[in-house]
Amino acid sequence: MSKRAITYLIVIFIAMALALHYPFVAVANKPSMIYGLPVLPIYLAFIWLLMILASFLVVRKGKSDDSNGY
Amino acid sequence: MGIEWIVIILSSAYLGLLFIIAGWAEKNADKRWLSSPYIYALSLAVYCTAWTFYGSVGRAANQGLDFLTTYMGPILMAPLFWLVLRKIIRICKAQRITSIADFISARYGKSLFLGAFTTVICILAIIPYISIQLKAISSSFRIFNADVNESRGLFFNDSAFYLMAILAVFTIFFGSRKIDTSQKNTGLITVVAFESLFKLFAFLVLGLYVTYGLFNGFSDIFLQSNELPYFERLTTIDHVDGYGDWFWLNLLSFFAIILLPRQFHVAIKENNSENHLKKAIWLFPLYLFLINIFVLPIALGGNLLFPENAVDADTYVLAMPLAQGNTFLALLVFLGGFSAATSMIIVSTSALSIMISNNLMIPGILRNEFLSKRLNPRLNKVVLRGRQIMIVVMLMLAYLYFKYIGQPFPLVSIGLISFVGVAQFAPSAIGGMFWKGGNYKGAIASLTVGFLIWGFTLVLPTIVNADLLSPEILDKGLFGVKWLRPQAFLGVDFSNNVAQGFMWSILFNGLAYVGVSSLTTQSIKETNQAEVFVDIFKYSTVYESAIVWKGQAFITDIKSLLSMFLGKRRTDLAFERFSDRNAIEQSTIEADFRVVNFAEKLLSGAVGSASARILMSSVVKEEEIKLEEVFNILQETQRYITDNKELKKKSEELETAGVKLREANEELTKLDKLKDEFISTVTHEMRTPITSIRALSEIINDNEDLETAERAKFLDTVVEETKRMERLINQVLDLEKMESGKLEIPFSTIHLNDVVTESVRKVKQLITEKGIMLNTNLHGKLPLVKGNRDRLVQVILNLVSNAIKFCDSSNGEITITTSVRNGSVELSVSDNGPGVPNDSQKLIFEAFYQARNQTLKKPEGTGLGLTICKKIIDKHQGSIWIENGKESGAVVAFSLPKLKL
Repeated sequence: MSKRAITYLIVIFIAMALALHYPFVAVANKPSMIYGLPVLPIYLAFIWLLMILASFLVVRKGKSDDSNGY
Repeated sequence: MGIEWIVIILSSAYLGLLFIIAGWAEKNADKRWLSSPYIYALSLAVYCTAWTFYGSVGRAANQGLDFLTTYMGPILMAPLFWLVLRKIIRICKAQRITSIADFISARYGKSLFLGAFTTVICILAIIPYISIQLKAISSSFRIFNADVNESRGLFFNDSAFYLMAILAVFTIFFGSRKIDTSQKNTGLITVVAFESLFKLFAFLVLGLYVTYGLFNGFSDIFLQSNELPYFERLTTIDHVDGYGDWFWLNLLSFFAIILLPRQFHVAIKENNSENHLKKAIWLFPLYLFLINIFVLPIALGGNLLFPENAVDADTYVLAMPLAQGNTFLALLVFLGGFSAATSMIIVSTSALSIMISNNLMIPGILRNEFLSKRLNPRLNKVVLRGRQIMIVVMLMLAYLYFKYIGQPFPLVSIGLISFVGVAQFAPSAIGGMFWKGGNYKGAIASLTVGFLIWGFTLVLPTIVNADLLSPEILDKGLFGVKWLRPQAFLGVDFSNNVAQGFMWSILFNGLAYVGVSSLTTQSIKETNQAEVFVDIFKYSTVYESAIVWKGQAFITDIKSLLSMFLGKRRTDLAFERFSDRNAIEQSTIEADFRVVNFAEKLLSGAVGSASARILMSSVVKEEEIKLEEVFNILQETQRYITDNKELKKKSEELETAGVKLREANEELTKLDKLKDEFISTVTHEMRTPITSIRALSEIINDNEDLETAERAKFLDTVVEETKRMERLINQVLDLEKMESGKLEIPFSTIHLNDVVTESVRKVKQLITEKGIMLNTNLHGKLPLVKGNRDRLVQVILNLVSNAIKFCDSSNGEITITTSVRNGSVELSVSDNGPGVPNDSQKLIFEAFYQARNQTLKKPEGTGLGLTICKKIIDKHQGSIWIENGKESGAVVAFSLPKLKL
């Protein structure tokens, strides 16, 4: 994997870690409903899926690189 | 037949299936898809145990989103797999490390004590965890048969006991087949991957059934449960304590996904290729997403269907289909939970058995004089048997724990306490991998502090709950000190005990690690290991040279030690390969440090790093090393790596230079040969006229009475022959000048048609004499070219005279055509002679071609004409070629670049 791809993965980690914790998670931490679904579980599921998609794209792009280095 | 019998038969059949799959995979281990990244990613899902299967729903029904913290950590770790897991994998492959205990022990100088300590923590943390799997299965059995009371009676009435026995057999068969633990257990991993798929399938089917069968989709469940008084609590994070708990529990599972012995086992020990991580980075979070998506709907649905806690929320997944009379689905779900539990038990026990044999059993035997004397000669058998016995013992302990201690707890709490236990390895294992300064004393301090706080804040309360201790300590604190209450350590009272216990233990643990490491110094062996661990990507290819060792050792001793564990054949083979790779003489008697390190590494695969250390030191004589030596050798190793790279680059450059040189040489040889040929042809060509001149001169000289007419004829021939020689010499000189580049041809702007006209005027006489017809076909708007008029006339004259030579003797016809093609000006001279054979068309421009081809009629001329023409046209940046005409005859043509205006 290229250094750039690894950097992207680290960025994904940091962004996720922030989005899933206080104070950012507090934005969605409300008892209200959206389309009949509670807001917070939807928010968490969204972040989760976003992260899967982002890492999928990063990893797929970095596929052709060699396996040495950091 | 009662349903309980169907359950028993089904679960036996399921276990039978596992045996079949494992046996089949073990036989077909070379099939590519069995070591594919998908199998790898699925095997990581051994993380989802029966606790996930039953406990998540229970936790969601009671505490809400809290259950997600177990999965948030792993999905946060997933993007870092390449950074963290890959490094661990690389280290473990270089040193043949197969468990977390070996890893920590190896990092801090292959310490026996650390290995043993880590193993003990693992046993204490994991046995209860295994026991809750048994509990989950046993209580799910009971759901199907409500009549059977909790079987506190004899074990042979207890289904969990039989299950445990079967799993012990399975794990012994497929989890401890080979003594060398660095070899892969394809059967075991295939089964784990299969079970991961199966439990996901069962859970998804149930989720769809509840969400779309019992209710009308997600929003229906949420809207209905919106009426429940505690709905808000279940779908949000508590604003007071919630964020803190959320963070600490996420961090907890963040560590657990790497440090849990079973995760270490599947993710690192059984890893086939680092590249598999690339798939796992997104596939594993996707798996966790899918297995969690229905947890909240099922939990809320259960709360709606069974109000007032009529049913234990941990059993909702079974109770819901059963309450609807859907036995088939209930059985599927049961098997799903069963598969989650069995895969966890199988992997955990085989991981623990290796840890125990490597870090407790073998060192114990080796250090005990009595035992080591008796067991040493068959240590290999002892190791393998020991592991198998350990598997039985582990399962037995788990069963006893389940039977007599663990009953009163919900699934989740025990699982989480286990998590906190293994999370204590985080500072020394993960820290030690990125920080060279971390040392043995720091690791001891870190583990001790973490272990004590874990025991005090989390394990102690469970002992109290099991009525083994008086509850006084919970209320009044240790020694009656208020701030030493386990559940309000240091006076801080969290709503969540696990979060609190984890926070205190990991904080003090980390502090102890950093603090003690900074205040104390490393031993030399440790410094070396720290260097290799942290900079593994520098050393992994030259691992054997990166470990500093000094002393005396004999290859035969080392070999006989190794053959005891690996067998003679494998040992010999490994040594042969290693000697080849490192250019070590086969006949060497004394082992150098690389051989010693290599042997120790091989041995580590079988008995663990710490035991391998002891075993090796029994056959070699070691000397003390100084710290400077360690650094010197490490520096040398690094220099060796860079030198190696440079050397490789240099040799590549040399190789290309060599290829070029060879080509140039070939060219030269060819030219040389041509030169030789040229000289021999020229001399041959000159000899013919000289011979005839000499013969004629001799005749004239010898026969004074020769008639005047005859004499004149002879003299004429002599003059002709002399002219021919002169022409030849002139042409050779011309050619030589052109080839050496000495001949300057001044260029001017000219019209090719004018050149043609001039040339035609010059040959008119000759052509008329021979009775040949000459046509010119000149292009009306021919562009100008840059060229030398005289030289071009020479070319055209040459071509025309060639045409005269070859054209039909009775009805000769020559055509000169000028034209424009592809931006070049073209001139062709065609005749109606025999034409030129295809294979000679290129050769014809070579010097003396006709002389060398004696099949052709020997024509007049020197054989250099076309060669000179080609040289002239080359000077004009044009090209010249020959082809056969459409009907007959040859066409010689040249093209010149059009003048750019």
